[in-house]
Amino acid sequence: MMWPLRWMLRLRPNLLWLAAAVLAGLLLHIGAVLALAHFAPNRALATLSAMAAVNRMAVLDPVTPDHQPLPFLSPAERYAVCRFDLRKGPVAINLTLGGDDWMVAVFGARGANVYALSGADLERREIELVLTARETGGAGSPLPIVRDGSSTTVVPVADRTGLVVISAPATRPAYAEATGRMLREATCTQRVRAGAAAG
Amino acid sequence: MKTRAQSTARLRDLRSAPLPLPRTSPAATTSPPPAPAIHLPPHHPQTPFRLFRRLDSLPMRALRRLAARFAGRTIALAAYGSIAAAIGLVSAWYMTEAGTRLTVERDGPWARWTLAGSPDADPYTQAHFSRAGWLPLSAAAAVYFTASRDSTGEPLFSDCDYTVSGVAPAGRRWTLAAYDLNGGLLEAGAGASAIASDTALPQPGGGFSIALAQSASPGNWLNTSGAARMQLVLTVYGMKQALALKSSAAKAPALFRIERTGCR
Repeated sequence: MMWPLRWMLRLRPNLLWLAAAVLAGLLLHIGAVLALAHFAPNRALATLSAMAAVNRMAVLDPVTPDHQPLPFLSPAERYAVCRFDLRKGPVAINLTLGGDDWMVAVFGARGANVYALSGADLERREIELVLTARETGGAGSPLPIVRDGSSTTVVPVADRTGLVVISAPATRPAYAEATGRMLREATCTQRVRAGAAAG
Repeated sequence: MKTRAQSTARLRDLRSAPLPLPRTSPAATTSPPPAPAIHLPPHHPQTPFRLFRRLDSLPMRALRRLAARFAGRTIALAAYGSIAAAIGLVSAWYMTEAGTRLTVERDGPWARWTLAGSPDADPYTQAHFSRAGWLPLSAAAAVYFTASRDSTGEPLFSDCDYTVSGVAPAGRRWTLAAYDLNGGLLEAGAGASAIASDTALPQPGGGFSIALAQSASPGNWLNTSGAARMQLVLTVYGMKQALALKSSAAKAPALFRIERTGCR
């Protein structure tokens, strides 16, 4: 048992090996960060997606300590989610925003936030978002976000599936019923392919 | 007066005389100093098998040397691999958990991931929020601030009472809620689990003062519970638009201060 110890004592810091270790550490750093960024978002989306049928809007119960689907969801907001699937055609989101602080966010399959708007961005409260697969814009080029006078917005999405999250302020009890009703009236419907041109 | 012959004879006597012994204790004089240890090579008897034994020992020595070299290389590889793992994983954990100036802006105890909820979020921001399981809705419409320490730098505990006060942040609306370190809402009991600008009572000067406590408190009261570390999340809606309307020289007002008022 003494001869391995003798070899251990013979070890000298090898600058080349040290540089290689630092380089390997940097590569490990990049790999760990990219792996976390690339794979982990699916968990949050999967949790919310499990609460809604495909291309159907689902209004979540008020966020409380006993009912909190995701970490850091605010109890001061009410949420509605739609799990969209664009493989059979565009999906239209129709809703009436109840105020400036209503928000609509569109997430891709990997959790990337591809589009968001708030009530403060719009003059009209009735909006329609048409989610289309990016390739339908022609030649694989991304479609610009087009807004017309009827508050219809075409949102090209690179992923075929994803999630739409609507959040509405829910701190005033007097508005709780109206907020819940407006969220329940929001729709998420599949459109036939021919309808994509109209969007 | 001595003659030259006498001096020469005296010098000859001194040279031929024995050297005087050093002065030592009586015990030392009685016991002689121990003899130095002498390591002698092991005795190899002159047997007929001596050549065979020598031949036998040479491959064994080579094998031992090879094994020792392999062990040394393995240990070196493990040592440098540990250095690589420490550099890679610790730095990745720190940059995705606490953030750096590249990804996080700090204002007193509050921290904000600058690209949270943005389509252009960098991998560190994406990793941070994915690790936390947090789905920030929008970077343009809402800004998210988190604080896990008070204004003096002490960690926030849910069994301590705090006062969150100051001028309202620039923006249309803000909300404040308390969570545990995993993002779970604290049990609110009879009180509120979130305070928002549209329901909070402003002070005469226009600012706000919110009590975070487990027992009921007059005014704006955010009910906390438990006895563990906690963090606050301040969400400000329309902050970027409000700041954009101001002149470029105007600086955003400092966010709420968090001061501990007592602990149980």
